[in-house]
Amino acid sequence: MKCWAVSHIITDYIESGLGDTERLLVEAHIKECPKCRFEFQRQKAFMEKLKNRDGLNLEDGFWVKYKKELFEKIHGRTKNPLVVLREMFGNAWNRKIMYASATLVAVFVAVYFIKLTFRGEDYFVDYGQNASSNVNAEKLEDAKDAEDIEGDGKTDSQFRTGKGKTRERIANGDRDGRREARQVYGLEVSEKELETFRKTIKEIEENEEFQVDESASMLTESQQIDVLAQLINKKYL
Amino acid sequence: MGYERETVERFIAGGMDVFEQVVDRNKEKILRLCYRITGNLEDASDVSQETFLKAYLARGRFRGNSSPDSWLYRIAVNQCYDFLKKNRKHAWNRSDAEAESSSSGNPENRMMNSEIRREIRKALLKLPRKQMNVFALRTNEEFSFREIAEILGISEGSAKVNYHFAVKNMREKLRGII
Repeated sequence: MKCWAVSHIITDYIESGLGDTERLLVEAHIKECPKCRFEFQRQKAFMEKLKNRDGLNLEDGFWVKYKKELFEKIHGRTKNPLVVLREMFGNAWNRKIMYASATLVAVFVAVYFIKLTFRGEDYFVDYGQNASSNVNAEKLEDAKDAEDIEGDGKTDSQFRTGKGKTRERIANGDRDGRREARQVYGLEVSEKELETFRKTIKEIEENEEFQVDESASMLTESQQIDVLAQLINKKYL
Repeated sequence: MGYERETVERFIAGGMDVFEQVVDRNKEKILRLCYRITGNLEDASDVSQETFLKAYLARGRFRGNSSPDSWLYRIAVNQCYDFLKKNRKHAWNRSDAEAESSSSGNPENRMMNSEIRREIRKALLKLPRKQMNVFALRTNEEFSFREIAEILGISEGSAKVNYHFAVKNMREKLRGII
């Protein structure tokens, strides 16, 4: 055995932590090598000095007092249910609370985004992909939509559900027309297509068939969408 | 560190008689271990009592994979470490006049012993945590490396290696003192 190897296991040798073979090898080496023998003696003396140096001398009755204090502490603590719960679950309890909170936050975020995504077939597809400069203007428009923008006593939501009004917006190239066409048919509608669509709607409305009375002249929303779809499908444009 | 299965189950169930048995069996060793690290009887007493208290309150979490004694020592080691963290700046300097004055020998020897003890503690507290724990358990209570491994949740080889480096570091730090 080499000196460097002995120096690595000399502590184990002193502490009787070596197997028989290694112990015999170290013993044989120490006998032959004066340098390692000196190192062994110094190390052993050092370790002896380290042991049993706590200098702890306990007065009489220490343990009686110690145990009395301990059991008083135990009875004191076990009266507080919160302390008992915390100690019982400890870190595991904290971890569970942390995981539960994280899951809750993740669920809220997911729900928020799902909601946003559904709202926004219109929001993202129609506008989100446009130039960013348009976004603020569109948000402003959205905000205005909530109010009575037509001045006819109808809000935007009433406007959308209201009979006949959507036609005008489609005809005017309003985003609702694009949105509805896209939602129903998944089609892209360009400005050129809308222009043609406006003309077609005008032609249809000017047609006598639709001039029976005021209410009949209004195309229903589904009729408007059908017209738009037909135009696109037949490459009318 | 052996207990009967029934005793362990009663310990987990919260039998105060079994708990008292565990306390009686380990109180001195735990106190000495804490004293070795805290260097102050009052602190050691507090830390060791806190160890037993924690063990009693958390007994439901004891899985029974190791003996209750090993589990107790692990709690004690962690409690000591928490104590050191709280008293990082002054931990090494907390001497115990009462214990020093009651130690045997003439005043000169007592003074020298107390100085040496303080230096040993100072060097011990400068060791990395694992080395410090292994060293304290080995030199103070003379646990076997297998027991130390069980207490600290490390392998026996790791306990040996850490002890070897702890002694080496201590020798360097205490060169010229002992």
